Amino acid sequence: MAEISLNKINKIYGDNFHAIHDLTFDIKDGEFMVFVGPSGCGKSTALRMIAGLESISSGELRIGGRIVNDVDPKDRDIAMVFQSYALYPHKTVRENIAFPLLMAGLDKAEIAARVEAAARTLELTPHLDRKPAHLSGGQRQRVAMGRAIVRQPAAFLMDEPLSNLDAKLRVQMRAEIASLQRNLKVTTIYVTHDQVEAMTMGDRVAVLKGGVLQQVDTPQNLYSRPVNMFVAAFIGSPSMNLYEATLDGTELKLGSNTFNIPASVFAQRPSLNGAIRRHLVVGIRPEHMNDATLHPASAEIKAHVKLVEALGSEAMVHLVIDAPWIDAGDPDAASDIGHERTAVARFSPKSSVRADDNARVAIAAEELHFFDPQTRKSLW
Amino acid sequence: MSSENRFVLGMLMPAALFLGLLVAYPICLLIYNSLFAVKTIAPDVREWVGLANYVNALTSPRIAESAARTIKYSVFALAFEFLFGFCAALLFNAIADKSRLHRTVFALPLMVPPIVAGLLWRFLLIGNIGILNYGLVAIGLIRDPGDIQWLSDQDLVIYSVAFADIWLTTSFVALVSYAGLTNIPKDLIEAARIDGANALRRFWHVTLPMMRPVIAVVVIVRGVDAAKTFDLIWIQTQGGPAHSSEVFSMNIYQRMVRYGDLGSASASATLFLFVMILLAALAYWKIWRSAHD
Repeated sequence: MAEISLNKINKIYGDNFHAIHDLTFDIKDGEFMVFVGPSGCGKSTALRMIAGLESISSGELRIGGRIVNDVDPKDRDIAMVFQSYALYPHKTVRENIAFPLLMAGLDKAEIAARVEAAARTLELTPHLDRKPAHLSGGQRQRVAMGRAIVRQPAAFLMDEPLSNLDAKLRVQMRAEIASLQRNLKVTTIYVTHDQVEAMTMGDRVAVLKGGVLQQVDTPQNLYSRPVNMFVAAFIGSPSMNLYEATLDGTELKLGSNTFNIPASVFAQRPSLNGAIRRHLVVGIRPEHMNDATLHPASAEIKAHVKLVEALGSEAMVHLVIDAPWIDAGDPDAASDIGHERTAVARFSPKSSVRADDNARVAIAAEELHFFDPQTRKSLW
Repeated sequence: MSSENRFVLGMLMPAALFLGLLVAYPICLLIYNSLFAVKTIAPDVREWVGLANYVNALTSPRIAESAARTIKYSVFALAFEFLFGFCAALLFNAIADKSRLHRTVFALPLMVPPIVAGLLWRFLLIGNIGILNYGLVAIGLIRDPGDIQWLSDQDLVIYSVAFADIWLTTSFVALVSYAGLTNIPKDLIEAARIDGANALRRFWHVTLPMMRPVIAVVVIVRGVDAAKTFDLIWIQTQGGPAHSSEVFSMNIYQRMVRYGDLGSASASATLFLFVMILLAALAYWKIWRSAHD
C-alpha cells in the first residue's frame, strides 16, 4: 500500500513534443484514481511514466514516499494491467499468474498457494492449465487482473483494461474491478477515455486535455462544479450544451429568448452579480431541459426540433436554438448531424414533440453553468 | 462434382502439372535408376539389382564418413550462423529504427554468389599465403603463417570450409530473426519488465519462446541448405585433401560423374532425399507445431 505523488511532472519527447505539462497531484493510499480525457490527452503517457515504462523529463514522482524517477519498473512495487492484457501466449494461465512471483524468487509452495487463491478470487480455477488463446476476452482480462493482484503490489496501474470487451461484459467487469479494488484496498490508477467508466469507478477523477491537468475531483464535483468548459462538456452524457448569451442584471438573453436567472444562482456565483450586458457562455445539461407543455418552468425558450431519439425511458431531443453554438474543445466529440449545431435535451418519454416541431423548452435555470468566453473558465 | 470444385481443380492444374513434370518425374526416375546397375556412359544397358545399391551405400565406409562430415559441417555452420545472426538481430532490435543502414550493409553477403564467396575464402585461408594467417601472426596468436593449415589439415578442413558458409548466410538468419523480433508485441516485454524480469529473464521467458516459429524456419531452411552444400566446398577444396572435406552431395557427384556409376549414385541420392524430408518434418513437428499449439 502506498500513496503516489506527482510533482510538476513533464514529458517532452525527442522531437520537442511536450506531451505532459507540470502534472501535479497526490493519490491517497488505497484510493481509486481515474485518469480520463480524449485521445492524445496524455493519460496513458502519465500512467506509463508512473509505471517506469517512459522516462520522466522533469519533476518528481514518489511512490510510498520514495522518489522513483529513476527506479526500474520492477523495483517500483507496482502491477500493471494492459489494454491488450499482454498475457504470455506460450504460458498457461497458471504460469502467467505465477510469473511475477517466480521473478520475485518465491518458493514453489508459496507461489502455488497464492496462484490458487488469486484464481479462486477471479473464478479462474477451472482454466488454470489452459493457454490464453483458448480463453474468452473476459477470462483473459481476469488472468491479467490475476497476474496483477497475485503479487500484492503497492499500486495497480490499469491502462484501458476494459476497452477490448463488448459492452455488456464491460459493465460487468467494471463492477468487478471496482469491488475487487475496494476489498484489496490497493492504491489504483485507472486510465480510460470513457467518462462513464471514470464516473462510476473512481473515488476521484483526473481530467486531462492536451497534456494539461484540467481538474482532479470526485465524480459528483466534476459534474456539478466543473472548472471550465472542457470538463463541463466532457463529463456527463450526452454533453453539456454551450451557447453564447448575454446577462443583463438578472435577465439572460439566449438568442431571441429571454428569461430570468433565479437569486440562488447569484448567491452561488457572486461574480455574476451586477452584470450589465455581460457576454458569457451558458451551459445547459440535457437533463436540465424538458418539454414545457409537460413540465412548466419559469424559464422557457423556443427551439426547433431537428430529431427525436426515443429510448423508452427517455427521449433524446435534438434542438436548434438561435444562439451562437460554442465548441467545448473535445477532439473526440462526434460531429453533429448536418452542419447545423444542435443542443441535446433529455425529455420525458411522455413528450409528444416530433421532428420539425417548434417546441417550448423548459429550462432548470438554477442548474445553469456560466463560463467566461475568453478564459473558458467557470464563473463563480 | 460441383462447379466450385471444378474451378478449384482447374486453377490447381497448371501448378500440379508443373510439379509433376519437374519434381515427381525426376524423383521417380531417380528411384527407378537406383534399383539397377547402370553406367552413365551407357544408360540403356541396365541390369536389375534390386536393393543391392542401397546395401552398398549403407555399408560403404566412404559414404558413412561423408555423411558424418555433412552432419559436422551443417551443425557447425548452423550453430555459428544462428549465434551470430540472432545476436545481430537483437542488436538491430535494440537500436530499432537507427539500424536501417546496419541491416543493409549486413545483408550484402546475401548477394554474393556462393562460388565467389568460396573463392574469396579460399584466398583468405589457403596455406601459407592466406591473409588470415598473416593477421594471426601480426596479433601474435601464431608464430608462422604456415602453423595452421586451414584447408590442408585433414581434421580441420571440414570446419574451415564452413567459414564461407557462415559469412555468407549469417545475414539471412539476422534478417529473418530481426523480422521475428519486431513482431513480438511491445506490451509483452513491458509486462515482463513490470513483473520483475531483468533483461536476461525477459529474453528467456518472453523473447525466445515468442521466436520459436522463426527459429524453426531458420533451422529447417538453413539446416537443409547447409546439408546439401556443394559449390562452396568444391571451389575451396574439391573435397580434399584425401576426401576429408567430401560431404554427402559431393560423394554422390563423384560417383555419378567421375566413376559414372548412375545406379549407386541414385541410391545414395534417394537416401539423402528421404533423410532430408525426415529432418525437415521432425523440425516442423517439434519446433513449429508446438509453438503454434
